[in-house]
Amino acid sequence: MTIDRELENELRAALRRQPPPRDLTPGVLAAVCRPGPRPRRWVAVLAAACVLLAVVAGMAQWREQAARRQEAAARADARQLVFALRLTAADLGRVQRHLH
Amino acid sequence: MKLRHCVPACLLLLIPAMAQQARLRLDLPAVAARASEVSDVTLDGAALRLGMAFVNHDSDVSPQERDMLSRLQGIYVKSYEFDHGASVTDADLEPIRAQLRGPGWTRMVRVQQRDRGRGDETDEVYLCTDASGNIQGMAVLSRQANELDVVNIIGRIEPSELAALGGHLGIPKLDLKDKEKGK
Repeated sequence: MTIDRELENELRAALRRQPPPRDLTPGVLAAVCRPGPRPRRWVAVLAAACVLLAVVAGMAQWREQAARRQEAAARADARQLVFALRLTAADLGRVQRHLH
Repeated sequence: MKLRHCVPACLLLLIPAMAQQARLRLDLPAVAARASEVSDVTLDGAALRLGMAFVNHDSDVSPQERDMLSRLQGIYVKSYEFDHGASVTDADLEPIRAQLRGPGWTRMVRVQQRDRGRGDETDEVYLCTDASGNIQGMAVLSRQANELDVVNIIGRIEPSELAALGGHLGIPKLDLKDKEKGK
């Protein structure tokens, strides 16, 4: 019984209602009204720069691939042209030989 | 006043018409069906310009030859190769010869060799000219034992200019000026 009583008294003492400190309200209000941390502008700038870099790099790669494709097509056309000229030359050369 | 404007306009319309006339239809489906190999070159417009840019860049072509190549408007080649036994008859070539009998076309050269073992071999060179005598195109019909080549070149190419390509790209020196024969 004694132990229970002591425990009860301690609980009462611990849970006893106490008036708030005088500077609580101004402190809370000051904390609420205080402006938050400013957004980090450099993060946005960095993100924009990364996006811009990716776009520029993508465009450069696309242009390089397009140039490669065009070059390959031009080489194929050149091969066809040389083939056509050589075949024509061979035929005309044979005609020339016959005529002479 | 109006006539003065009409004449250049009519001339401008005639240029593509002459180019159209110099362009031949080279397809020979019956021959292609018997051929063991068919090579087809169709180069005109942007493809021809791109190809010529590379040819000019890669080889030692002179400015005059470059100028001549720049006047090429198109090159079309059909080359058929045959296994032993297959051959090409005159009837096979009639669709092309019929076009070459059209207005503007003149046969410059025809060389025919008769070989009992291998059959007839013929080489023909045709030129297409406009009313002023300017060359608009050229055709070569070459029938060998196991091969048939049909070449159609569009553009103002003089034989002497073609001869100037001799030594480059495998083009032999030609002297066809005084070799013209009637049709």
